[in-house]
Amino acid sequence: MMTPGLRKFTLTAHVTTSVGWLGAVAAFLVLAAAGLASTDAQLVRAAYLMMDLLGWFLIMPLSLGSLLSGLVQGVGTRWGLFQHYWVLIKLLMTALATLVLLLHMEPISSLSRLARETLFTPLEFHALRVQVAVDAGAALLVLLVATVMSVYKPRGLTRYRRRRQERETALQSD
Amino acid sequence: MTQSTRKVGTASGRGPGLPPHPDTGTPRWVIVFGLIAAALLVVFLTVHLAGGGLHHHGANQSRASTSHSPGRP
Repeated sequence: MMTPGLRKFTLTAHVTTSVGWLGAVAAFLVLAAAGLASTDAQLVRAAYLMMDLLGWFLIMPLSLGSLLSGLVQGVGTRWGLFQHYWVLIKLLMTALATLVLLLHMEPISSLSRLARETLFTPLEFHALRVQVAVDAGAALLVLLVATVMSVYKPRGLTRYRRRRQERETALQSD
Repeated sequence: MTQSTRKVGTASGRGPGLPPHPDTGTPRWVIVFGLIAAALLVVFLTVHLAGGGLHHHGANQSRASTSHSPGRP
């Protein structure tokens, strides 16, 4: 178990990176929507160039920071990683979101490279741009659900925790 | 404003922030959440597989495939 000071430090890091990730994805979604809907070629190109920067230098580090600090919080506190359903589900969602993000960074970088080309127009690569916008919306939804879970902490002990508790009770009664 | 009736105290000596009574069985919200997540995952995978997979919308997407786009000169 962590000391109270260290626990507060890691909790601060976890909240900061998680909420920062949520905000960065929201900004990314705005840029994706602008890139998709705008007919201004200059704005579209600027949007995709910014999305690449946001993805690599903000969203990626924040997602890894959130995952790492969440793991430290789970291991170092009484909540554990596999004892409460809300912690376990949040961990799975964060890990999955990070994995999907890693897979989607290449298409985003491709769009950014294309946006640097002077011939890039607002109507090109429509399917890819729709995909990026939809994925950003899905990521925002996942992060919102994770945030709500962190605040409400819905009840429910995992089977692993229940079995452990039963064993402890049996040992105490002996 | 309604006040929460959920107790998170130390009535059972399990420490602050933890529910005082051990829960039994899988909660309904977990089952509902799991079903929704599974459905969304299937939709997500179907959309990606139907679109040719993640690698298809990368750098390899050639301009030739979109050369008939109305925006092209």
